[in-house]
Amino acid sequence: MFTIFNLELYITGLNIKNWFSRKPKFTKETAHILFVDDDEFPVVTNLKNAGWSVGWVKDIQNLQDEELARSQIVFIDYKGVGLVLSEDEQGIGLIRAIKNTYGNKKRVILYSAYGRFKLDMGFREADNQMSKNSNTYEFISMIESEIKKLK
Amino acid sequence: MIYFEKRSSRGETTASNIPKNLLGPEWRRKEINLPDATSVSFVTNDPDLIKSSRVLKKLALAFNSIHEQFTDQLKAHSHTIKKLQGQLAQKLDGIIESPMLSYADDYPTHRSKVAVMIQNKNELAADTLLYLRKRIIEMDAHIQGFEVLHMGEEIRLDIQQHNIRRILINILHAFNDDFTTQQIHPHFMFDDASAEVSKLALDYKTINAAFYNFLTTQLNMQNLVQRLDSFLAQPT
Repeated sequence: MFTIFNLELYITGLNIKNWFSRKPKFTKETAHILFVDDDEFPVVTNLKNAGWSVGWVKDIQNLQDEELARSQIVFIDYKGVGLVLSEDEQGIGLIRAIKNTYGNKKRVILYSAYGRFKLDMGFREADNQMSKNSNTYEFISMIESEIKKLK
Repeated sequence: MIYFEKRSSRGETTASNIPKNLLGPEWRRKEINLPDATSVSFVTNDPDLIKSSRVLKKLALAFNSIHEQFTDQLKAHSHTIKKLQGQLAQKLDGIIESPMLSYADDYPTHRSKVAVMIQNKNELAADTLLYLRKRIIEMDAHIQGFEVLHMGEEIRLDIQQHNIRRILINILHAFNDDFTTQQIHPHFMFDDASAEVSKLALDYKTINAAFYNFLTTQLNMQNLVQRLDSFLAQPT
């Protein structure tokens, strides 16, 4: 309900709602994004050119990997990665290992060219999922949305 | 006559050869539930064909197995096509960053805006064109392979006289970036004039697909060998 008390706060620039709204912990300038994929995708270069800090590795050998440790948003392929840390489950196993180690400090996105029917199995492990045939706009939308969820 | 229908665990039809206008009391349906919660139905006008539940269950499992095998092949095909489509789309995004920046109400203006963008980055435009060409050759090789391996397409060779040097250059061209990275320098021991005189009778599409797959495998092997060499060279 909009009361005279609220009106006063608005006028004085003290919107009560702003007291409880949280500023994003990371921004485009401070977040680092990592792609873990055995195949090279042009979106990595496009994101760099658009001003994002982005890295690409073919796989993660250990969970203390420097590039992984400094990343807040990690895109992980479904197949061909996680060969050292989770040979059987590959991408899904790698996601589970990262989430177990880093918890909510990282947003981990399963991205694959396999259909959703197949991704559903691993969806619970990842924070989100997206298709590899997405264009740069879709990647940026996903990153901007995920950055806001970082705790 | 007997028809089949496969349904997913959510009850959606995933494969069926039942005609749409199949009506009449003589047609009977028998549904077999499978262990994975999907089902296979049989529709027939010959009651003898569906009287044995045991036989129908075996038949349902066999039908399901063929269906799964085929859909797995389609999924693999779809995976490769989606991957290539993503790479093509993203590469183009690199040169025309945002459609918002180039869009115009009429096509000539739109085209002019794109032309200005390209003029400002000649090298990137050239890189993009070469990348697109490589992926298109890759897609061609993949589609050729899929049609022959999984769609039961008969290989009908279109044997024509070709200049082998030009065919090879067309394929090598697509791998030039990999060659540079791996310090491979292809060299022809014969020139275009002699290849033009001594043309070879071959099927262009097959040779293209074969060389593409051969070079891809060789480059992957070379990459593996280099990685193995550097691993072995590490002090223990």
